[in-house]
Amino acid sequence: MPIEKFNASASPLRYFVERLREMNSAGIWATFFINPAIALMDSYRHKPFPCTVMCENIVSDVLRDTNGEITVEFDWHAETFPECQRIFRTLQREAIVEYAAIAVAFLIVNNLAQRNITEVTLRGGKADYFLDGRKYLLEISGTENAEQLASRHAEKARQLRANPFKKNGYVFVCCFSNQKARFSFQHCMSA
Amino acid sequence: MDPTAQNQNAINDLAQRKSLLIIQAQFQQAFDQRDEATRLFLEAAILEEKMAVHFRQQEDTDDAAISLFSAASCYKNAGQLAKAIALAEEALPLSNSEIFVNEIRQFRDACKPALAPRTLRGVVRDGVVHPFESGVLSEGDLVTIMLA
Repeated sequence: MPIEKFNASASPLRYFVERLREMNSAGIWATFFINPAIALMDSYRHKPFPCTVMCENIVSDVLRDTNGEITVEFDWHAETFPECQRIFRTLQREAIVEYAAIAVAFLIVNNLAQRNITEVTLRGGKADYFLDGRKYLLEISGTENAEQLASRHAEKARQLRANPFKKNGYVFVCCFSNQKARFSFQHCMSA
Repeated sequence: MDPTAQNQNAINDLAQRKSLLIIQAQFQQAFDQRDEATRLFLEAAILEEKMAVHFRQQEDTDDAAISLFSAASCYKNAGQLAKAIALAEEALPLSNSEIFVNEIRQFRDACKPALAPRTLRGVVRDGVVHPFESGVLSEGDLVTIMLA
């Protein structure tokens, strides 16, 4: 199956969800998030699924000559997950939203910030995502409530700045219902 | 290949494999497949412990603490609280972050009451105890056996 390559000059940017397979080829664990992402975006009847990403403190060639806001389209091949809506019968929608947000976050972090998602660890019941070895942390959240986007991002940014590992990192929060996301770089307060 | 590079390669390999196991385990948990989730968490915990050994060889105690606490969290998810507490104890002196040390302490202290014995009822079939209640048995559980 052909996988489209990233093209910074294209407008709007379009990322195929299946690219997660390439991003994490050694461990292939990122591929687990492909199906939930396809199912959720398909449930909104947008293909490709557009998303306006508001970036803050992100250094990227893609953001040159912009005010930090870009539109990204997420697409997928129909044969990747043909009966995708069936997943809602077996998995709670809330979990699907979180998994879809992780998929979208990985694509954005890899393409915009040029960081590699290298590891997942557990801290109690919480999963921590590390980038570029254990150099940076990534906090992710997904919602379908447009009113929660700003507050959820603020909360995740606060958590990242206070993280116990004293690492800087990125925060990505996506609201699927209004197709908006916030992506920021945060400095740890105690780093 | 020099030993440092060899050690780093081993860490990278373990990181990929255990990340896959953690993600798989969480998916199985979400799908309510508890037995499979438990098996995967246990496998992940073993790899995290191996990572901690490699970090210690590099005298990187902070990263060793991160891996040990992750292993402890995997054991807790698998219902092995005694092991979770032991690894949390092992991680405590390794971290240079006061916030992380406090978080590990809270985790350890939260595991302790859950380790208290529960009484479950079950039945023996083919020499194996099957609890009536759903879920898995934890260390320290008292089992009332009904002979069928």
